[in-house]
Amino acid sequence: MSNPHDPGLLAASLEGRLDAREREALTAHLAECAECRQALALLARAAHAGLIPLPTAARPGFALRRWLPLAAVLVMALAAVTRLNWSPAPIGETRPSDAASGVSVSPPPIEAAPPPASSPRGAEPRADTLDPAVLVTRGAARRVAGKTFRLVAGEWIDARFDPATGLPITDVKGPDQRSSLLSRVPALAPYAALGERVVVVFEGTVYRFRP
Amino acid sequence: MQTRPEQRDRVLALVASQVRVRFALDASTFAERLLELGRAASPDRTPEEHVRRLSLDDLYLASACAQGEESAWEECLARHGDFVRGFARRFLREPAASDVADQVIADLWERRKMARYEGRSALRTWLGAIVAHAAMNAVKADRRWLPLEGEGPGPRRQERSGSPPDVAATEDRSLFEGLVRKAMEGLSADDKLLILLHYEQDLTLDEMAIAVGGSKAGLSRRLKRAREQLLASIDSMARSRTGLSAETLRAGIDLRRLQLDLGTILGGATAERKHDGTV
Repeated sequence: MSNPHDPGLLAASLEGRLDAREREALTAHLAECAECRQALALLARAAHAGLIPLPTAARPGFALRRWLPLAAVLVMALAAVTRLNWSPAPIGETRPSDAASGVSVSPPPIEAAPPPASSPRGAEPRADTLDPAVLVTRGAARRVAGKTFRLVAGEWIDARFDPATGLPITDVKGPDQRSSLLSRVPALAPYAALGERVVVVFEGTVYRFRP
Repeated sequence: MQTRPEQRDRVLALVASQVRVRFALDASTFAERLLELGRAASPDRTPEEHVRRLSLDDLYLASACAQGEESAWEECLARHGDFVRGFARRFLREPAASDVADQVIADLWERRKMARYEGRSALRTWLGAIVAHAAMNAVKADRRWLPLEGEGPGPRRQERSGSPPDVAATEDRSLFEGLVRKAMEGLSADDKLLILLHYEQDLTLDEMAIAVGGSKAGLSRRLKRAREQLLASIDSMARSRTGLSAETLRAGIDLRRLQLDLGTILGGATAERKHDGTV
């Protein structure tokens, strides 16, 4: 490996484009280099959040064409199972625990149909914004203390959150930091109660709660 | 074995099929560059095999930028400029984010760093890696993470002020840290990387699947095995050095003070605790 810190290798690794020899060399380097490890982690998080669209390039040895029909069947089966499991709560129903915490579980808002491929929103998404129409899990929206949150990849995200606005971001990791912050800013408590991963915009700051 | 003219013809055919030649950089010159990249790459592949794996249109755009073609740069900025700026804002607050983004863009164009892109990934992914490194360097230089009030910057926990240091606890902690480091050295590179990505970098299993490949279930099993091996190794060394088990040794240590920030492993949390949160 000519330059172990080469960002090109990290990027290629993320897309599954390294051969076995290169991957072995990069793994050995990453196990020792904290900086490259951190860079890889940042990229993986961004890719997972959809900010870096990873091409669907076949990994070496993977015969994509052979598996496409099976993949299509699996996708359809998964979609069918998912539809069966996602059913909005009846109107007006709240769980006792929700009522006690002040969380109201409202039925999901009526959403527009997914945009057609030819529309601007159907084109490659801007990598610097989260497009709720693309990422929102149907049926997963909550209104808490005057704010609306949507469940995106396991994280409750304030509908007012927009990375493009450049608001300062405060990461709150673990129970200690969480309780310390909430003791100083108790108004955040209802939002933090949504779950382990919450993003909320409050008084000009984005707070990201993490486990 | 193919002759060079045959290789060149094949690469030219690839260029014709995958690249829209829209700048002054012509297909023939571009194909020559590809052949150079191919010959310099892995000896296990022919130049053509190497070129087939590249993102050719992205590489064509980057090559035109590297040659100073302004129309290419305009296209590059139009397609990726917002991404570079937005990506920097993931890590830094303003104005540091804009500073980093501006510097990255200036380096790519004015210092011709675009020539370093070799098409082994999509251009956007490569730009993401560039911005990530630049942002990390900016953090080190300026510490412009927005810390919590009263807390230090960065992802690592800091020493907590409060009661005076207990000398015996400090010695135990240093010993324990040494044991953990030694045990980590005994892991394979694959297992060590999994442990560090999960516990040091806080990646979820889904994120790790993107970082290193593989399925979530497979990674969970491998992580669990690696953690068990690590704990067994620490325990064995602890008994050998002190006559105490690792459990006893760590009972008196505030795990949050460990420099390695691996308290979660040693605190008995399971690998499965970190999963994509579901409500």
